[in-house]
Amino acid sequence: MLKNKAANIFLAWIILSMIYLAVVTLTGVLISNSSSKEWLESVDNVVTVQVSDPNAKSEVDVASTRLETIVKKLRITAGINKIEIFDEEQTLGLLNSWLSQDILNDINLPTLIEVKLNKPINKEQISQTIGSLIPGVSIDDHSRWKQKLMFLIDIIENLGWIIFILILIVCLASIIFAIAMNIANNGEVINLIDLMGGGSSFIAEIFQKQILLVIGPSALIGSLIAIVTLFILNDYLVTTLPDIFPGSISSLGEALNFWEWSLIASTPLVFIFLSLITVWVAVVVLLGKLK
Amino acid sequence: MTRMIRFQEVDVCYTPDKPVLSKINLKIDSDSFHFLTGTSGAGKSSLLKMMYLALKPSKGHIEMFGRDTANLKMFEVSNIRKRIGIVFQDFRLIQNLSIRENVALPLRIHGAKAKIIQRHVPELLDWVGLGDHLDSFPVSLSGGEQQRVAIARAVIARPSLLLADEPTGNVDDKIAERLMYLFEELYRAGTSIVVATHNKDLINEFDYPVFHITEGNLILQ
Repeated sequence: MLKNKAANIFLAWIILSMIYLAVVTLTGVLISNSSSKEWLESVDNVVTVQVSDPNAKSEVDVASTRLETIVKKLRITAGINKIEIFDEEQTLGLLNSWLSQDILNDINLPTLIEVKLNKPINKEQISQTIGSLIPGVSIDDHSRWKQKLMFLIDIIENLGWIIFILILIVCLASIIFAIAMNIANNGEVINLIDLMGGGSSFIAEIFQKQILLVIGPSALIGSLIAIVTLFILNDYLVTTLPDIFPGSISSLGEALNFWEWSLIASTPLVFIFLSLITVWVAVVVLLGKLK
Repeated sequence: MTRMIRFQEVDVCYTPDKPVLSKINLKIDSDSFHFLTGTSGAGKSSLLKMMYLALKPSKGHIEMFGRDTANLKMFEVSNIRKRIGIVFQDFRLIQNLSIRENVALPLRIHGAKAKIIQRHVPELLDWVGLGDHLDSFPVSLSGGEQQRVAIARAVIARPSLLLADEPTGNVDDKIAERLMYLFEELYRAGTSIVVATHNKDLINEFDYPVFHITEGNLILQ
């Protein structure tokens, strides 16, 4: 009934692109949130004990090495859940991204012991227990860089949500613009319908049906393309950069739980719902201003 | 018989110094048929526009179906308009809708179910002699055919009042007479009719009361 092919094509492409970006952004935010929580849980209550000259004779027990003395003490200390001693290969693996092999061959690597505690970290207590035992042992609870990293992750997540909301606002603004154009281009027909007793509500329903036919498929296709893009990207990263992105193709699906995937899947539906309300309000307001 | 339209001391001014219509008083009851005449520019269309609430009077009061139209809310205006069928001089068919869809529009506005629309629209188009053109578009019809479609659209929802603005202005005499017979059938079916025309031959042939506008004043003849 209402002619506006050009505006509808424009709207369809805008909505497809914007919903694509919205779903990619939302998935990124949720993955970041989920991964950072998982990572924080893994490093929570964990301290790293650095033992320099691990094979040197212990100052406390000459029959043992410095490393053996520390490990014995840790095993009998209350509140320690798990101890993992990094061998030389593991320690080199941590450092070889930063230092060349020549330098690594020259330096005397300390032995790292990862200690998982039962309770929240009391660094001072652990430092007293271990540090007083053998000199030259350092304890790191990672708090210094953990706090900075958490702060950075929070900023990135909040930024992600802001971008997501801005994208939706742009979509709704585009719809309002398309409606205004449509009303301007079909003024005679709208006036005729008004004279026949079809008030703003009836005209708003017509617009809702027309807009739904345009944005419905666009939103769904944009979401689908976004999900496919993310899985392809995940596959590429896992294949090309296995050191940085370990995992399999299915890891993206496992990175988020059912509710998070439901939230992503509902994005186009929520958007369509909000759009229909926007259409109604925009038509009633714009027609009210014309009268 | 109930009062449908009442004008009390109504003025219409497009410029402050010269009113088009002055101190118009008229009453139109249900089950009535009136002509509205006057020379070109006399104010016939303005009077009709006030009846379907597309124009507000500069002075005076208008009552439509017993309601004072001075401060109606938008939904009240829509409700009154749903009781009025309008035949425009320039037809005003929606060009990108078929004849069927054009005629069905008032029923859709009234919220009629699809089955009712599917049944009544072909019946009415048959009645006006266009049963074979259901899926044609206005551009493929002649002036007389388009006018008949406009009449069908105006009456499909069984309005209480039909306002026709120069319905025979764009057609030949034979079709004009045929359209008037259609209006008479509608009148006999219970619709009140007001036909604005400057066709004196039609007025003489169909003997109904005439509202005549002259020098901005309305006289019932």
